[in-house]
Amino acid sequence: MIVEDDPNFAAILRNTFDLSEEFEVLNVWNSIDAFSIAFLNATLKQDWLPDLIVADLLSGEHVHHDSLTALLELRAEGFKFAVLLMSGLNLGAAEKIARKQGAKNFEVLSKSSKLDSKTIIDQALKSVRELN
Amino acid sequence: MLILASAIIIPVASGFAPGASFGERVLFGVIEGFVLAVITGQSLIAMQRRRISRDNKFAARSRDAEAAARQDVAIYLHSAVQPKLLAISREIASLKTSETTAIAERLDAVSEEFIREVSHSLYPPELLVSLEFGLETLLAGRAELILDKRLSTSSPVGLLSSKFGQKYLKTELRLEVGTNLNWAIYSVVRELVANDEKKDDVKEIIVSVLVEEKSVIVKVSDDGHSLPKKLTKGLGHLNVEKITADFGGTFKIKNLPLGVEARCIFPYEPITSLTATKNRRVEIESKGNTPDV
Repeated sequence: MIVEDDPNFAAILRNTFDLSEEFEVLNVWNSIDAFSIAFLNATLKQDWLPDLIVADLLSGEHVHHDSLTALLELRAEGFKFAVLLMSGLNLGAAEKIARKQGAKNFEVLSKSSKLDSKTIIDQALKSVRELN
Repeated sequence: MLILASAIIIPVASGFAPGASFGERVLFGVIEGFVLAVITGQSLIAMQRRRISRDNKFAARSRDAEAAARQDVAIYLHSAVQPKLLAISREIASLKTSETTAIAERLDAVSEEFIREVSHSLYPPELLVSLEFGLETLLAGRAELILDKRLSTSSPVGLLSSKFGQKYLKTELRLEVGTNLNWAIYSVVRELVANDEKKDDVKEIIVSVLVEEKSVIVKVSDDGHSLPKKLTKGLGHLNVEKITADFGGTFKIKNLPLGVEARCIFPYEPITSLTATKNRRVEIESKGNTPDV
C-alpha cells in the first residue's frame, strides 16, 4: 500500500512497484487519514494490511496527523507490517524515534530527483526482510 | 449591589430626610460621597479590567493569526512548491544527458537551500510531524534531548485501544501541544542551544522539555563557564524572553555548580492526543476521503 498526497509521486511509486515484479500494489491512499479510516472500517484486521506500507511522512489532512505517528501506533498495537517512510525532510529523527520503540522492518528514503526505481525497490526489499 | 445601595442611600442623603438635623445631613452627605467614590472607583476598575482583557484577547488573536499565516506559507512552500520543483527536476533528470543532470541538480539545490530555508525560518516543517521529531532533528549531534514521555511516541495515543478492549490510564496517554506552543518551545530551544554553542568551553548541552501540571518547562543547560555577576542580555536571550512573554510564560537563567541553566516556563492546558484527535475527526470525516487510485 502506498500513502502519498502528491499525485505525481504516487504515480511514480505505483509504476515503480508494479514494474518491479517483487511487489503488487494493493491500494494508493491520498492521506494517512484516508488509510486510517479505511483500516478502521475494515474492522482493524491484520489480513487487511499489506506486507509493506510505503508512506510519505507528511500526508495527513491535519498538521498533527503524520504517517510516522500513525504507523508506529498501529505497530505498537501489535499489527505486523514493514514501513518505508519517505520525505523531503531529513529522516534521521524518524529513524531515531522508531529505534526507541525497537522498531524493526522500518526504512526511510529521502525524496530527490536522484531517487531511482532501483533505490526504491532495494530499500523496500530491505524493509520487508525477515518480516515474519 | 452597589447600584442598589446607591439607589437607597443617595436619595436619603439628598434631602429625603426632612426632619434630619444639620449633623445628620452632613453624615448623609459624607455617606453619599463615599458611595459615589466607591461606585466610580469600581466602575473604573471594571473598565480597566475589560480593557486589559480585550487587549489580551487582541494580542492572542494577533499572535494566532501571525502564527497561522506563518504556518500556512511554510506548508505551502513545503507541500506545494517543493514537490512541484522535485517533479520538474525529475522530468529534466529523466532526459539523462550531462546538461539535464546538471540543471536537475541546480533545481534540487534551489529547493534545498532556498525554499527549505525560508520554509524553516517561517515554521520548521519537522514540527508538522511532532514536537519530538522537530526537536530530535534540531538537536541531532548538538545536544541531548530529555523529552517528557507523554510528549513522545513512547506513549500511546490510545486511538485503537478501545477497539481491542485495552485500557490506558489518562496519565499514560500521549499529550498534544498546540502548533503555536510547539513553535515557541522549538524557537527558545533553538536560540538557547545556539547561544550555548557560542561558549568555547562547552562540552555538553542538555535540553529537557517536561510537562508539570499546567506548565511546559523547558530547560537548556551547559557545562561551560558561569554567567558574569552583571549579566547583559544578548539578542538571543532577549528573543527568548520575548517569545516566552508572548505566550504568558517566564524566562530565567542561573549558574549551576558547573555550567549555566536557562529555564522557560510556558502555561499549558494538558490535552491528550486522543481527545485532540477526536475533536478533529468530525472535521476530517465530514470532508470525505476515498482512495486516489
